[in-house]
This record gives sequence, structure tokens and C-alpha cells, in this order.
Amino acid sequence: MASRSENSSNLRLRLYVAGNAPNSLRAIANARAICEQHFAAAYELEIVDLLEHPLRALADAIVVTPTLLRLMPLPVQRVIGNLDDGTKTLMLLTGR
Amino acid sequence: MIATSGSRSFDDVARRLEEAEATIEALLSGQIDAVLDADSKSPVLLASAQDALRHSEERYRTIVETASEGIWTLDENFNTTFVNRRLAEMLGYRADAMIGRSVLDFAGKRSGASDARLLLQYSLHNASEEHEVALARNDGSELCVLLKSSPIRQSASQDDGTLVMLTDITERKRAAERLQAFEDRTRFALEVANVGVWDADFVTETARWSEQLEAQYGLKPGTFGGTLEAFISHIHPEDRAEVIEKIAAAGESGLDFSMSNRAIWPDGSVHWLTNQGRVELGAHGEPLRGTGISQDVTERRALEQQFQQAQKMEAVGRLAGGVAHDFNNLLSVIMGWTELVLADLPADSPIRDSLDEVLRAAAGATSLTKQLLAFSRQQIVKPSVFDPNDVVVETQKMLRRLIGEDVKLVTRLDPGLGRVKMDQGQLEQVIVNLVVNSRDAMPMGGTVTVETKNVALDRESARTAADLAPGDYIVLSVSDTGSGMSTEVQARLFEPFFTTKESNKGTGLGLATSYGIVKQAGGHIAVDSTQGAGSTMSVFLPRSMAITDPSPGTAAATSRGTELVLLVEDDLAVRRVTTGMLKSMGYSVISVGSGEEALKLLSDGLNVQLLLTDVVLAGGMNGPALVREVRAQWPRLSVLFASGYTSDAASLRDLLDSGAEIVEKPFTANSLGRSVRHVLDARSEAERSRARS
Repeated sequence: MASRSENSSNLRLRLYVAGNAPNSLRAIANARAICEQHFAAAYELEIVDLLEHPLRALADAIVVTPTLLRLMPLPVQRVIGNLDDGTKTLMLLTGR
Repeated sequence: MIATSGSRSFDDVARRLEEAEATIEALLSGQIDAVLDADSKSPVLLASAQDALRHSEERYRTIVETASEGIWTLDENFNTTFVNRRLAEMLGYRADAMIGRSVLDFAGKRSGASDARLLLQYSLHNASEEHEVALARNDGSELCVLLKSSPIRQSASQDDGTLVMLTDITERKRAAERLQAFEDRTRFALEVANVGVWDADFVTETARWSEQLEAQYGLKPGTFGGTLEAFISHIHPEDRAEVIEKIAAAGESGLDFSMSNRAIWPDGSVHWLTNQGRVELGAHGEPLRGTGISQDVTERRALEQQFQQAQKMEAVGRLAGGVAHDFNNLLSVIMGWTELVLADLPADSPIRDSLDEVLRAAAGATSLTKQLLAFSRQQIVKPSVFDPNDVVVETQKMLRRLIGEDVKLVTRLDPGLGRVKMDQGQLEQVIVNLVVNSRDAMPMGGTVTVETKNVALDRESARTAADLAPGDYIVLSVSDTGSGMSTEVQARLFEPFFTTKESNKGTGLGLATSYGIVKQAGGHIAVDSTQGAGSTMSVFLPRSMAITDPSPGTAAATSRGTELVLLVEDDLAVRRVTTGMLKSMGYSVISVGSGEEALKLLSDGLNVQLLLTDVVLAGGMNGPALVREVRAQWPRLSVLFASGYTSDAASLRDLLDSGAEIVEKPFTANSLGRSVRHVLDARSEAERSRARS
């Protein structure tokens, strides 16, 4: 993981979820599937539970969960929802 | 292009709008679980998410409550915050009764060598190590658990408590203890019974032997090679083929096998072992493993051989007993007539020497039959009080003949020697055995010394030196200047059938018989020997304070009489010589050949003073039966048995106890006369005392 994060061209994602709530679990599964399928060589996916770390969510200006943040490459992009629409998600992740 | 979260650039605003739109869309399509309230800084779960959370909590609770492990959560002070149902069950508490109590309240007394409380504290502070800890149940009993703790972390910075998982291993421990006890017992049984155990792996060609098995092969513990090859190499070469064949056959059949084989010890000695074994076969019938037990049966085989030897000796003895009876009758005739003829000869008769030689030969034959009878234990034991010196003097001549010309016989007899009470013939036998033993220790010649003396044993010397009660003893010792004995030989000296002589030269019974005789007389045989420096065997016999019985020969003057004797003897020659002897002593004799004839004469009113009958009679009625009949009808009649041996001494005992006596065959005129006189006198003494009272 550490070596991947050093590479600036890597995809860095942070997914905010709410415990084991159903949309959160779907979002985790969808995010993992998309990453494995399209960015298998280099990506970093951090999953943060809003219920445990509300302050981090606040710092990231999270309003609802699930929310997927694209931290790298910049600019920061946000995908709201359970990520069931894979095409839309992929477009947002690869777009500028 | 680059937007920071605080900027109010157009792009930023546009993105925020897009996000808001996407958020609303997601909310409407039910894709949102929680909303973060920026003011309270706390997340608000939406209804569906709450359900899900509850479901998942329930799932966890079910897992926790149905877990077979005990689950215990503690706060930072180790006070109970939660226990699952299983833990409450284990400890015998209600779950809620445990909440708030310190975990240390539930510690047992001891866990192995440690204090349970300290061990519990230690294991809570050393997370992720497993420990066996004793806990106390509500009812005071203890249970043993395997305990593993881990800190509960809400945030990275601090521990919020401890999660403890417990497995009840009381049963497991008890089962392990039972197994251990069973193993210990089995090992003990195998050790005590000296059973060796082996197992062999035919695939890896390795084998293991227990220490007992190694001992059976004369090996030190752990020195057996550990391979099948080593296994075979310890077996006697002549037995190897058979052993391999047996195991191979068992490997094909899968049946248990048993076999005997010899082991050669490193010291060269050969030991006999018996084996029972089993071969385990694989799926295709190929031998996989073998196990078996082994026992050292060397001693048992030796005992079996001894037993066979003893049976052989008994058979010989019985045969000898039968022959001795007839032989004694012949000797009675020879000795009797010779004595009668000698008595009639003038003192200067030239044939006197020849007849003396006949008597001497007959005496030799007599001692031969006595020895035969001793083997068959049919010798009549007649204890009397006598001076052992007399026996030494009497046997001297025979001893000199026995030991041959190369060995010198020296006697040193204490003239003030005390008396002993035992069978004189048996003491004679003991002396002969000891002297013969000494002679055999000196094949190149030497000196045998027979010495007698009085000895008083105090408590200490009686116990340590001779295993006897304290008191006065006479000691008759036989010393030689021979090869001496090793301590091993000394230890087994008196064992029956133990002999250092070649198998056809010694029976191994001589010293054993002597030992038995001396022990029976209340004495002991002590051995003092140094290898290469000769041996001394000392016979301790209790000193008798009784007056010496009249010695043979001195009673001749009192052996005469005029009473009427009824003689019952089936052997015509013996009957005639016995009649002659009695008549020469002045008695009147009526002789018959069977018990029936004797009874008829008595019934017809014949008035005799003494019934002299052989024990063994041809025809329907033997001696004892006749005497019982006579006793019933003529209780005052004196009875004397004549017998060379007694195979049924028990049937005679009651008769002997009630006054009958035995004269031993072959008898001389002297011994017969003494016995006849004695029985008659005892009877008239009894008559007189009855008349007085």
C-alpha cells in the first residue's frame, strides 16, 4: 500500500460509509469491483466509517453516506450513493 | 483549475451544486444510509440503515450468545461490562449478577504451581497469549479455562477495555489426566510384568523399542538402533529366518502372530523371549505397521525343565521304592541267616571272616536302598537322641571308601559334644553328602576335615551368622582344601537340581536334601568359602538335653524273651529267617503268610502277646488293615510293623500314635530283638499302670 501511495499517478480513493448499513455495504463492494476491474495495477481505497469517525467526515465535508472521494489525481471528485451505476462512477473517477 | 475546499471559485460552486443534485438524487433513489449533521457533528442514521444496523447487531449478539466459548468484556479497571450466556453457565452465575464485579473476584485458588489470581492478572496484561487459569464457580468448585484476552480499541489513542475469550478445558484436562493415569498404569503394568513393547514402520523401515524390550536384549535404554535391520540383528542368528518368515506371513494374512526367539546379549548369554504381534495392512493389503509385546521366559523355561527333571526324579523314586521293598526282603534274609549262622559258630571258626564280609556287603546294599528311598521321600523318619560323634565314627569307614585314595579324611571330634535329637540315618546322609561334595571339589586330591564342637549362640550371632534362634548348638563342620566356590554358586548351593557337576554326574539333590533334613531338625547349614581357598560347610543342630537313647548293640542283652509272637509275612524266605531270629532270642513263633490266616488263628482263640506284621502283604488285606481289625477285637495285643519304606505313612500314623511301632527292614537280629522287646515292655508297663489306677 505504501509503495502505491508514493506514485502520484495512482488512484487514491476514500469511501465514507455508515457501519454495516445496506447501501454502505453495496458501495464498498461496488468500489472494490470497479477498482479491481479498471485500476488493478495501482489504486488505494480507504474505507472510513462515519459512525466511528464523524470528525474526519466533517473535515472532508461529507454530508451523506455512502460518499466516494477521489483524492488523487486532483481535482477531488465525489460520487454520492451506493455506486450501483458503474458507468457513471467510472466516468466520474476518470474525468477531470 | 485547482480548487480548494474554502474557495468560492465558479468551478467550486458548480461542483457543489452538482454534488447537491447527486445527493438529492441518491436520497430519492434510497441510496443513502446516513446524514452528517454539521451542527451537532454527529451522524444521523436513516430508518433503513437503522434496521440494518439492528439486524447486524442482532447477528453479532446471536453469535456471541451461542458461542461455545465464554466471552467477557471488562472496562479499564477489569470490572465486568458484559458476559455471554456460555460464560455465565460456566461459572454458575446469572449474567447480570456478574456485571460490575471485578474479574479477579472469579479467580480460583491455584493454577498448577501458580497463584490463580496472579496468573489471571498476568494474562489480562499480556494480551494474545493463551493461559490456563483456574476460576471459581458460584458453588465453590473450580474450573479450568484456556483464556485469551485482547484490548478493545474505540480509537487509536487509548484502550477502552478488554475482551476475554474463555474455553472450558476442565473436561479436556480431566480426560487428559485420565488418559495419563491410564498410560501410567499401563506403563507400570508393563514394567512390573517386564513386558517389552515394539512397533515397526514397514514403509520407513524404522522401529521403536520400549526400555523393557531393550533390557530383554541386554541393551542400555535408548541404545537400540531404531531400524528394522537393527531389530533383526539383535535376534539369535538361528532364529532370524523364522522370525522374518512369521512377520512376513502375518503381513500377508493380517492375522496376529506369536513366536519364540532367542536374544543374544552383549555379554554372550542367551535369553528366551516370547512375542505376540500384529501387522496393520494398508488399503491394498500391503503391510504398513507392526506392533507387539515380548516377554523374557528364560526363567520359566528353566523352571519347566526343572519341573520335568523333578517329575523324572519322582518317577525314578517311585520305581526305587517298589524295588527297595523286594530288595529289603532279600537283604533281611541274607543278613538274618548270616547272623544266625555266625551266632552258632565257635569264636575261632575259619569261615567267620567270610561271613563278616557277607554282612558288610549286605550293609552296603542296605545303605544303597536307603538312599534310593530318600529320593522318593519314603524313608521312615525316626527321631532319637544321640551323640553325633558316634555317627561320624560309624560312617568313617564308608566315607573313606567314598572319597578314594587321593583324599585324606581327618576327624576332630569334641569328646564333650552335646547330644542332638533327629533321625540318625538322616544325619548320616547329611555327612555323606557333605563329604562327597568336598571330595568333588578336590579332583587332584586334598584333605577333608570333619570337626564337631559345642557352640552357644547369643541373640546377635544367631541372627547374623546362622539365621537361628539363640541357644546351645552342636556344630558339625566339613572342610576341604579344594577349589572353593564363587558367591554365585554359594547363593544357589542348596537349590534343588543346582549342580556344578556334569549333568550325568550329580543329581543336584544331595545338598538340597541335606539342607531340608537339617532345617527339619531345627538347624542350619552355614557356608564359608573363598574361591581357590577351600570351603567349610557347618551344620548347626540344636543341642538336646534329653538322655541318650540306648545305642544299638548295647541292648542285645535285654532283647531276649519268651513270649509268643504271631508273625505275618508273605515272603517265605523272610518269614523263615525272621522266625529263626526270634527263636534264637528265646521267643515262640507262629508264622502265617496273610492277614486273613492271622485273623482266623486269633479268632480260634490263639493267645499271643505280639503281632509282628509286614506293612505290605500280598492278597486282600495289608498290614494296617489287619492291625485295625485286630485292634477292634483284641485291643491289648501288642503290634509291631516291619517295613522298608512307607509310601502311605499317613494311613499308618493313627496306628503308630496308639502304640504300634515300626522296625525298619532289613533288620538285624539286634534291631529286631530291640524293637520286639520294646513293644512288649511298653505294653506290660501300660498294663501295670492300668492295674495300679
